[in-house]
Amino acid sequence: MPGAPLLTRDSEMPGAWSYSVMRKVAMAISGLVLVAFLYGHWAGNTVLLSGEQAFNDYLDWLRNHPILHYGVWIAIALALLVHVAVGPRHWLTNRMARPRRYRKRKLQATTWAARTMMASGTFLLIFLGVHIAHVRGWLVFDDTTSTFQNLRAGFAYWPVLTLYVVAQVALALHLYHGLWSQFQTLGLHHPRYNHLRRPFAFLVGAGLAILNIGLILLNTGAGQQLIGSAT
Amino acid sequence: MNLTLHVWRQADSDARGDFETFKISDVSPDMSFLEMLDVLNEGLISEGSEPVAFDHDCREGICGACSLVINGVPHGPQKATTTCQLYMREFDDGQAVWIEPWRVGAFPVVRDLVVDRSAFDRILQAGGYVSVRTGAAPDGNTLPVPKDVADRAFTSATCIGCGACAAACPSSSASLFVAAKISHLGLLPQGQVERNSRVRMMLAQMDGEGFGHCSNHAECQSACPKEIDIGRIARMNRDLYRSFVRRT
Repeated sequence: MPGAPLLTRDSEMPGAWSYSVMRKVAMAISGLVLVAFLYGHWAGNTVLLSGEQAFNDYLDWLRNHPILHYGVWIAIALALLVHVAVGPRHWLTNRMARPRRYRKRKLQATTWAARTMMASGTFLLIFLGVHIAHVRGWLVFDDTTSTFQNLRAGFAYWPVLTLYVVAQVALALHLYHGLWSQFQTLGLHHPRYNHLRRPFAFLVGAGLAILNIGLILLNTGAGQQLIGSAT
Repeated sequence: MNLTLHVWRQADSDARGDFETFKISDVSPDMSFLEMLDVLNEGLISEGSEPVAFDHDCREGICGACSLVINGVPHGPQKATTTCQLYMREFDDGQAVWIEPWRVGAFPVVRDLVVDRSAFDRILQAGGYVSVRTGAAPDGNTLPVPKDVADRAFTSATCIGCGACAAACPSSSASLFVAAKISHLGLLPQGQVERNSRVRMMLAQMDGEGFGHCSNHAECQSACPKEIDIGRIARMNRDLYRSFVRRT
């Protein structure tokens, strides 16, 4: 039965990026870049609550800081490209590595989040497309050219609101596995701190989703009423 | 005890294969799982049928020859146990038992429940060794090794190479096996000389064998009959990064 040819000499050692482990490092680091961006994205978007003028001032401020603006753009575009290039490739290899599946299978340790990474990731990518179309005004929910008005109009429309909220849940699931997984991949393992890795992934992942959902809901009509009655 | 066995039968690596159902009666709860299969095979031979092929050797849980995915779990339902050390008292009278081979593309089925695990041998050949000048065995105490380091190396060395990790892994990855071997040698002073080339050669061979990529499901450490933990995999990854920045 032919297997892989045996590597025998050090001269045959492949370069760093041909290792599957190194592709996983690229996956981990690009994931961390995207999470960091999403926290910044949330913080920036809190100005939505201060009204249209404040939001437009924020957009102007971003445009007047091209290094920050385009720097972030390039970083997240690259990270997304790497994430989307490696993830499906590994998913496909993993599927092909078991040509015949088990009839009976009793999983003992893995999580649902871990088993649905490809599904949650694909959903998030589709959502990202819709979100960009929404923000850029390619998807118009209000006969206005104002990004602010279009956003609020979108959130007022229940299918859009549902999509945004469900996407946040998918994000939390994706990050619950991803943020734990990156510790292992990057070799961050220590008996004294290992018990903190899962809670970290849960808090950072679910935290981001809750912050985002909160911000979205406060931008709906009901959310605005709530703010109005509180002030 | 009476059991219904659904056993994977496959004539050779190219055959399609399917489950064959056997009723087996008068199984003693004190039999090991392999002894139960021996009884099944005695019956098959006496009636002129082909016996079920399965791997076994030491039958005392230390050689790594036995395999079998029993009711969906490599080495069966009892934790930290090889199939040969699994006793029939772990099963209920009348229970249906599904017996499948390791299903990993890199471990092709040879016949029935026997798979070819030479991919693991090639990974070891690629770098799982320590080069030493032979001669009289040196005195054990001439090379001081801290107790906790020796313990960790020993825990990794308990890997018997059975392949349950890859069989259990949703991604069919061999990472736990490779990581155990790398920790076993790489923690000890004798293993330092080839530390860099070892991790790179073994991982390159592992990738070439067609295993999947670790996705941190941690199924391997649950299935490992020696309870080797996934911390070894994190350490292996560190060793790989280290090999790119440090010469030795």
